[in-house]
Amino acid sequence: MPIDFADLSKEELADIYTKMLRIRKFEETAGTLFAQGLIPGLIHLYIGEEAVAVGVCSSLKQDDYVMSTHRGHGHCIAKGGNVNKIMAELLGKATGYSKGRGGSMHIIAPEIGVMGSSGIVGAGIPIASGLGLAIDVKKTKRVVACFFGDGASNTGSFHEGLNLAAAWKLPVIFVCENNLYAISVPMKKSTPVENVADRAVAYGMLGVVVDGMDVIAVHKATREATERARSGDGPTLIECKTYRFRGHFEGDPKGGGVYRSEAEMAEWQKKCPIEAFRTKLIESKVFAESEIEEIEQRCAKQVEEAAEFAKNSPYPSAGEVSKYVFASNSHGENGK
Amino acid sequence: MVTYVKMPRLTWTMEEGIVGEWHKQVGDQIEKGDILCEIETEKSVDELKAPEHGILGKIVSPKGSIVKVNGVIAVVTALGEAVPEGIPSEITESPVESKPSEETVKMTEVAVSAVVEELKVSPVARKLAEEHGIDLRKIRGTGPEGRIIKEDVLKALEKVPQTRTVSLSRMREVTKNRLSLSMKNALPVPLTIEVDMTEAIRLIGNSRAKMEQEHNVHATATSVLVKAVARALEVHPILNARFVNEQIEMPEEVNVGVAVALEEGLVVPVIHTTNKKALAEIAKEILDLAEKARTGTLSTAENSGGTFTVSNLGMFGIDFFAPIINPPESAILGVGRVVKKPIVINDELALRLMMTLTLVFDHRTMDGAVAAKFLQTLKEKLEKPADLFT
Amino acid sequence: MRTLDFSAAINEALRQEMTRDENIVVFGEDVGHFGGLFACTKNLQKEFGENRVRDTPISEGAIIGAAVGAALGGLRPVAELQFIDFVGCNGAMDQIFNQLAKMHYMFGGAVKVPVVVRAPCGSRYPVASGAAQHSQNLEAWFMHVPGLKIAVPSTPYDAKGLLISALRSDDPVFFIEHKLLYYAQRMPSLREKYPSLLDDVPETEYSIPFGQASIRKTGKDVSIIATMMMVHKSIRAAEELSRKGIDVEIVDPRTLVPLDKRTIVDSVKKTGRAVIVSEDCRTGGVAAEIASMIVEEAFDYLDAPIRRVSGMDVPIPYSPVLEGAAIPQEEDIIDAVRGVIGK
Repeated sequence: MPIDFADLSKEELADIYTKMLRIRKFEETAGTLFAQGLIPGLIHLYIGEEAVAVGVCSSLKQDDYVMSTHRGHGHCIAKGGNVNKIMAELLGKATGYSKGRGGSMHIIAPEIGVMGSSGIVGAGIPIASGLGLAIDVKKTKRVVACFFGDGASNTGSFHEGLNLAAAWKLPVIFVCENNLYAISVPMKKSTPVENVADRAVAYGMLGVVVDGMDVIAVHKATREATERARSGDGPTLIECKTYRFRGHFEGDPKGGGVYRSEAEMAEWQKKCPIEAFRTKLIESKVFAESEIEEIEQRCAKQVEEAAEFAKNSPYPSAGEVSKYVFASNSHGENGK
Repeated sequence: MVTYVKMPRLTWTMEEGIVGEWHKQVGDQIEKGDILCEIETEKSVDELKAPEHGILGKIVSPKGSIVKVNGVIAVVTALGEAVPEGIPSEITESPVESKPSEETVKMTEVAVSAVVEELKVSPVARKLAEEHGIDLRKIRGTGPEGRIIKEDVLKALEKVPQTRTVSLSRMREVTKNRLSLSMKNALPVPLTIEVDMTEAIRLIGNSRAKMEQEHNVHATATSVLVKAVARALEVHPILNARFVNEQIEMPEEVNVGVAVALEEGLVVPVIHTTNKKALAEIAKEILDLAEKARTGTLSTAENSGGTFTVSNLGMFGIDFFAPIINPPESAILGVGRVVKKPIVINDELALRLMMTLTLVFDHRTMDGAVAAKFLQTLKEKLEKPADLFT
Repeated sequence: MRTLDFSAAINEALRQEMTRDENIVVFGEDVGHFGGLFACTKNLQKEFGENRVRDTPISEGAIIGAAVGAALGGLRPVAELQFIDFVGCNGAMDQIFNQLAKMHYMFGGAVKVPVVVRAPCGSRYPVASGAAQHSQNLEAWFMHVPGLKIAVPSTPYDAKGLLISALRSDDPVFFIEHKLLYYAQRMPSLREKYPSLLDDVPETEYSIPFGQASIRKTGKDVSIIATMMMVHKSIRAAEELSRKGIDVEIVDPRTLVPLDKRTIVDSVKKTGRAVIVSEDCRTGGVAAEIASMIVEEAFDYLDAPIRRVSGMDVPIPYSPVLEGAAIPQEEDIIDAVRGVIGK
């Protein structure tokens, strides 16, 4: 049986694989740097969920928008983000995307449509609807992909954001990255429905459940949703069933093992989306092993260089601490 | 109701005061604010006012008593009320009372008003008072809650004599700078000697008529002195030296300057080549220069080039004084008044006209011995002055 | 020149700016078809269409959140909270203080978020009783959040000028409107008591810069610093005080962030006495911040302690007798001024 690659070209497939691998390498390196004490804040790694971000973003255009979360490095990289600038931001350096003022949870790259990430669970959802509003009013034919987790689907922000997008038929694709846990609380205990996508009916929108470990499946579901959105048919809720291979944050004891069983974690590890895709690419003979290896080496090198770049970058100057409080004068009037 | 009148704390450092004159007697009716007695401290005499009205029941501390702050001085009672038997010697503000009773507490509260309380002062009033050295305790506050406000301080300021400041005139400035310089670098040492001017004064009188006739001027003690100084400088030229750039310069000329006191300041016009001039000439020149100094018409030449200065305060009754050397000169002579004094000559008392000369010399240029010798020479010449009158 | 009501001035500012800039959109509860509960957005939907003037569901979180998102997407949204008391509803507070206020800073200036959040505040005494959840003054909460500019206009002239400024600003602005100010045109009793509620408003567009206080009345004895409706109560109090020979100066900051410290301090340096009048609750209120600032900057000029005339620390009561007691009245202002002068 031929492997379904959703009619994607070899370049597109190579790009998909590259991005997933880049995310993986980046996250692993970030974890190492964190362990070395070079990252001053908390980081929430995307390892295991790469297929979701890459599957979604590979269906988006350059100027389509993405609203990200606290677990956002993957979203930014998937949308085409510069690993140097992301890594520098993690280290709090002036060369980071947010000039050292945001950190891991507040990455932004407006030039590639990554319109920010928030550490407040669910806060990005109404903001994504707002981006949809702007598209609607300005008629730019863009779409917004809004990432959030299973935990966010229980917030008021989820309800209001989806409701508004549906009521106004805004071009938003709500992507729920359901990794089964909101920090330590399993979905079973907090959410009375089996699938987050089941909630879409409450908003009169289409809800779709997708295997979040299969990048092509995610890609296809997103593609359909973007078509719907661009044609004015309003938002879609895509639920990707996925799993994070590490703890909620770096430093989460036993890599999340306090609230997840060894068996469960082992089971999901077997479903690594990158491994699965790699196998498919080689089995289908679309790529030679050597080509794959070349991609792997390139990714590794890029991430190594990003780490060096970040380590060698300067910190922002303390004297400029109140710069950017306001846009209209660079130093806040009431700040010192 | 019994009121204990206490020794008030009038200054920060006051620990005790002396009870002065009593203005009231036992049995007198007192109004609140009446002056009871005087309080003496090392700084001043103040009035102690009654904190309450009533009858002066008892004077605990009569005039002359030394009482510690917060010590009880007197007792004021209500009409018909008896003075209590046990009167506390001292009432302090601390809550630890030996016998806390309602009465005592009430009395403490009342007596407090006789003591200077914590003042309520607004920030601007406090600052103003500080700037002008006004004692806030002497001001009555008219602000809310009796607070002393800016207006109150301003009113008090009107009554305070202001210190007038006068800026230095140019002349004053110059004098100040020159003399400062001298004091900074020179090593001045004063030497004093008494000179018997009797003979000189006699000769001045004798020569008067002739000098007036011939030269239209008469000799004065100053001109005689200046001529004697010039002659003495010839004998001891080191006194005529100037200390310039760490070096001793020995000028050829003897130019004696004579200090003239003006209202604006001190001027030292110079008689050039004093040693070569006759007494009459010197006398005339002194008069001339003094007049020019007073009218501010001294030329630069007349005002400079001095090698030695004579400064006379004798006309002001000064006995002796040690003037400041006029740099770059090495010595200056301060002249006191001529006064008839009893002195001993040949073991016998005699009344002579004595004058005290003080030479201040710069120890960088010379030592005491040569300065003393100069004075000796000068004294000789003045006491045997016939030569000077030529 | 004509006299305009507060709400009419706001309406005109919106209309003129929406004509000038097609990116300005307005949304909130009942703002479209109905024209807003207080008529501030009257006829805007008719003129600019449903695309640009939208009625929202009851979703304060979505209203503010969507405003943030729309701004990120290139629009200049004006989001209305129907009452400032609703700022805590449904995640709106988070969107305001954690997202809106902080985005420019925490993203290192990478994006601007030019949102204007409009909200009515305050007690409607003696006209109507809003009770505890519809009558509050919460501007102090937002003074405390770096990154948010705050306008508190007290007159129609200021409202139009400040709103136009806000609409042109690249910064997030909380535009707070005291609801008693809306009504003067419609209520003869109100405008007779407070003639200062009506104003000549130029027909042209004009903007008033933020951080510029207005001196409503010059005087030499006491500086009254007052905001919003308290400005008008202070003006009335001033008349009574002048009959007693007390000449007050009234400073209206007009914006709380940025605050025109210089004008306030210069006034206090001149008079030596400050009375701050603000309708919000006393504890931790706007007056507390201004008082601290005055002590810091003008301590040596103070001839009396600073007095605050604030609302009581009570939820706004329903019964008018109680509500009148809970918020500052002219008598309270007069008492405070006389208290600092002592006559």
